Amino acid sequence: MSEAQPENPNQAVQPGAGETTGQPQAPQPQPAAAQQQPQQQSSDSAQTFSVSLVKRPTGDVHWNVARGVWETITHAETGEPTQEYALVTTIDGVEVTLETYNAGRLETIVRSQQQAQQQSEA
Amino acid sequence: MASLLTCTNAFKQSLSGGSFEALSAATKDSLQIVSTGDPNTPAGWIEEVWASNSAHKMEWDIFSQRFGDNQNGLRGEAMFNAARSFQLTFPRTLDVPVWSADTLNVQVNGTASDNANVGYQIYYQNFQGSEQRLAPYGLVEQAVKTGIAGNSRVLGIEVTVTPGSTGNYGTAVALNANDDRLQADYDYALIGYTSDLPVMCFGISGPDTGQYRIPMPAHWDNRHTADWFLQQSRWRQGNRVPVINANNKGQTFIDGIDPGNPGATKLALYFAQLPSKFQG
Repeated sequence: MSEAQPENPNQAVQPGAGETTGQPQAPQPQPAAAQQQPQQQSSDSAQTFSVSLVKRPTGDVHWNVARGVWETITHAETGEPTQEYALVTTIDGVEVTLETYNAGRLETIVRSQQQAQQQSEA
Repeated sequence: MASLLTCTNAFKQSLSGGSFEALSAATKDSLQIVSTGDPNTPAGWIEEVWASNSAHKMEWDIFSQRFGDNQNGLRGEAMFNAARSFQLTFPRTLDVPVWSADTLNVQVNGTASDNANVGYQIYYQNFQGSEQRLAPYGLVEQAVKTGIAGNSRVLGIEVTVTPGSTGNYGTAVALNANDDRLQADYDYALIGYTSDLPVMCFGISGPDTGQYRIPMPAHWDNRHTADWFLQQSRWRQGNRVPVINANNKGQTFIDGIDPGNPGATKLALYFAQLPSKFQG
């Protein structure tokens, strides 16, 4: 029985290499050193995903003891439901939220920038 | 001696920018140090300082004739990160004395149109008329470890608080508004807290705090705050753990302050039930 030969002579054969189980193999994370080696299909295997910034309600709820109900959390001054900005993408048909940002903080920055622009134009 | 743990938060909306400018004390807060009648003994100590800007980094300073110097005094820097809100900017265990009847000035040097807040925790060792109940670390640690009648008695009470949208304190919310599980007649030591958003400072006040606001800066890393009051007590070998009686839950309020209008924030207050009435 001959050992499987790596395509790159500098790349060591991993234990179990060449073994087949008849089941599809999930991609295995490569060691950092191996990733630095030239990959034949590196350019072909690159995939690009669109990322969207979405403003949406957080959907947060809490228990209101006085009323005895679960209710949507709202801003105490405006009464608006809590909002967030979400970085969202779709991978293998599944929508994935990458990160969320507090809407109040971002919109406060926007208002400051708008005010600064208006003052500089005046 | 009656001690008092409280805070002052100062703020300004829409900075002029480009040079140091004064902040104003927030509602019910004061930049004046209480008068003790003894000008040569520290009236208290500033134990923590936090600073936050809504859109950019900035400088801050706290000064008076008797605090540092009368130009910039204690001058510090604050980074900006839109997601992380604010920084704790004071040495953990080094406390700076303040003096009877002195008036502090709080300033920032930031970017035009930004909102800025700076606050500090202050501890008065002898405050006439204070009825605050503050426990030492050792007592609370023992209560947590021992439990009561074969049960652990540490629980988190959730309350949703919205800091004010214009840099000042927002609407105060009763401790039992969203989660009413404190057992009647028992004393509870407030160990610390966690939140689902970073907020520059929450405050808790009620009959057991002498109606003074005890500060709770809500760091983005909850590990800093989950045992906030235990650490405050441990670092200083003194009483810094607020004790709240369950019968006061409806009169004990939490409010919040932040320059970035973060909106409604869930806050979980970690309490340890004490096996007997705290005599503090």
